Amino acid sequence: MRTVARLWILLLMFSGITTLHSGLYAQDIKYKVRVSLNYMKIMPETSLLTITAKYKGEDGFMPATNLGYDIFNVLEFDSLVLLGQTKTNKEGIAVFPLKDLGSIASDSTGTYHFLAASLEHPQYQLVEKDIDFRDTQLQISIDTEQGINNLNATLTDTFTGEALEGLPLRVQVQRLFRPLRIGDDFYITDDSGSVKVGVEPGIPGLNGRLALEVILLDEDPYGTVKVVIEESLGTPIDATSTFDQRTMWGPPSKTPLFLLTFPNLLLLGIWGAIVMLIVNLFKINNSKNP
Amino acid sequence: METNPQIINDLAPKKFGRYGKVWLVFLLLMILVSFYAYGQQLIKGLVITEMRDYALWGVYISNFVFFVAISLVGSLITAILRLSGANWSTPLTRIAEIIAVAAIIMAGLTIIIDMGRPERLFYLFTHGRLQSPIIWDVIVISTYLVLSLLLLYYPLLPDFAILKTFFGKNTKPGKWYGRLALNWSGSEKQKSLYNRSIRILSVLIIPVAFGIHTVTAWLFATTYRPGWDSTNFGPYFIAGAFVAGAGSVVTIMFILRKTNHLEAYITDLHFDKMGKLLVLLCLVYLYFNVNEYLVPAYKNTKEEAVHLAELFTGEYASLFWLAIVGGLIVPIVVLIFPRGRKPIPAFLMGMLVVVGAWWKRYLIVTPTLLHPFLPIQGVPENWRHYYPSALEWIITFGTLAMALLIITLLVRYLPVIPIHETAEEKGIEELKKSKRT
Repeated sequence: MRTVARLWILLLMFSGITTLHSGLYAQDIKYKVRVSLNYMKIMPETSLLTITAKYKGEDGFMPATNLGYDIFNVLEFDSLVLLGQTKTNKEGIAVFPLKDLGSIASDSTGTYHFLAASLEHPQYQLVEKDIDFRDTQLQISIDTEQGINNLNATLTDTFTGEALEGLPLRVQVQRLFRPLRIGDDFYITDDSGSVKVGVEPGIPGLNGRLALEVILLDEDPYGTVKVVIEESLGTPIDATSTFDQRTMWGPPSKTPLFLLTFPNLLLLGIWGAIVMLIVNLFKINNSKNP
Repeated sequence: METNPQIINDLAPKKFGRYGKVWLVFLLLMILVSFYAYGQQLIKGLVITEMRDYALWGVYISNFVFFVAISLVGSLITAILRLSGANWSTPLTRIAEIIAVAAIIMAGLTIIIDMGRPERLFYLFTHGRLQSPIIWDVIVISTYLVLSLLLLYYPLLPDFAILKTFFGKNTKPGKWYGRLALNWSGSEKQKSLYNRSIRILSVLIIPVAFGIHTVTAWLFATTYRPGWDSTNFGPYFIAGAFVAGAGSVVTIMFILRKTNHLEAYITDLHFDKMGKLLVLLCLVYLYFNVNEYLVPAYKNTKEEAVHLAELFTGEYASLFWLAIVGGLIVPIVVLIFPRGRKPIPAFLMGMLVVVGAWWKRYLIVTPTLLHPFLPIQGVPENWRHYYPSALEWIITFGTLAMALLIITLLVRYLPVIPIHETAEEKGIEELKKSKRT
């Protein structure tokens, strides 16, 4: 009997310690967050910092959601100017727009320096990430030579005004799921910072309109730069859409008339008879005496 | 309105005996456990089931189709046999109507159980498209439910009046039966309204019953999938529903005959007739089955071949042959002989038919979903198969228990054999006998 009592006490102590330990330990666990910080410019004036944060959980890499960041402009002698805050969404991505990049300070060479520092979070450790980039201008134009439409794109450094040579530019048409590449995978800018790409005829577009885009993709120290131009260079799509017609696959407001008429007439007949049968019950109730 | 006291005494509802109470407690316990399981589903969502992207309909929808099938029995026994002048079926009409009401109520509830967000049920009416077979099903099920309730209630009016007198006007049951009798006195006007209403109901319920089974079949047949893409699906479902319904009537009439001591009213003749009817219905359904499987097997398109191989020799072979051989062929062979149509073998065959019918619905729903035209890829391995989770089974058994509870309660408070009609028929028989002598 005494042995059993001792065993019970030992068991209780063990379970108490493990519970207490696990409770304390649970508060200590904070995941290390892996952050990537990127710069993106969409011509003419939109500049964005994009933060992607993830951590290694039990099931592999997971997005670090709801994690706040302070965004700083780093000046000379490492002094910081707070520009604002942002927070990651459920995909672990946060976007911070750099409004009016011209008014934000760069160093003497025209390079911008930014720092993203995470805020306190019960689940994640503190983390910092910095980025340096130079502002660029990517200009796009269309010309026609001997019946062939050409797309011209020119990349220049905003600070120096010099053409940027030897950088890869992608030329593509915007599409819903995935862009349609035009010609080669990328074109290298020449000594005037330009590329010239022929837009082949026959590319289908809504009313013949094509949204052509040129992208410098994540190149150090310029980040990602994108410019879009919409031109009528394509072949109009011959859409035989039944969107405005009454079809079996249309929305409720586009129900075919026969389907509105016949089943409803049938229902009216059946439910009319049902109502009559219920009325008959009342009549039976009210006609007690022979 | 005079009725033989012996008949009333035999057929008036009786209190539960010891076994009845045990049965009731058993059903209530099952339902209680299933409520807990459904609570889990409400809190956590359909993730507690094993239904995933491919097997998006599982045991719930199989169960729904089963309930819809069973509900056809009301129109078969009551309406079709009544209109065809088969008077032998009179003692079975109430049983059939009770089964039909229980089944159609549970069919509606099962659909709600299958919904991930049941609180959005009303959206079916506010956002539904008349082009969708699902909306047709909602409409036709509600219509059939109302008609089934009326078909149960109308013939009960004279019986309620008899029971009011039997239990005494001032007793509690007497008062209840009195209210439900709607002042029935058997006056000429009442009889005229009553007979006309029952005739209308008997005619009306047949197309609606056919409608509900056809529309349920169209839920499958309007999709382009192996195993479902068939123009025969409507009649195939109706034939199957007749079999399931008749099987359930044979089973329940045997149990009620024993528990309520109704041997004088549900005789060997009724088992003999129902046995013959079941053979005919099984043969028709077997014909449709041959049609449904032989033609695709002959064409043997790639997708159909995979589907049929799974049924004939693959993962579902044991269930498939249980449903075909156990649920159709064995009952046909046994019931075709007069000795096989005696109460006990007929009851066993009825059970076999019902069990086979349930698994048949499972085989219609699940294997097809797991053999889509586009190959299943980029998903976890267990999404390629479907084995219902324990909670899914508990909820499903809960719905079956609820159907049985509805039947049990209706049997407890309603005369399971129409008193008025039985007395009338016996009176007519006696009159014929006396005229002969």
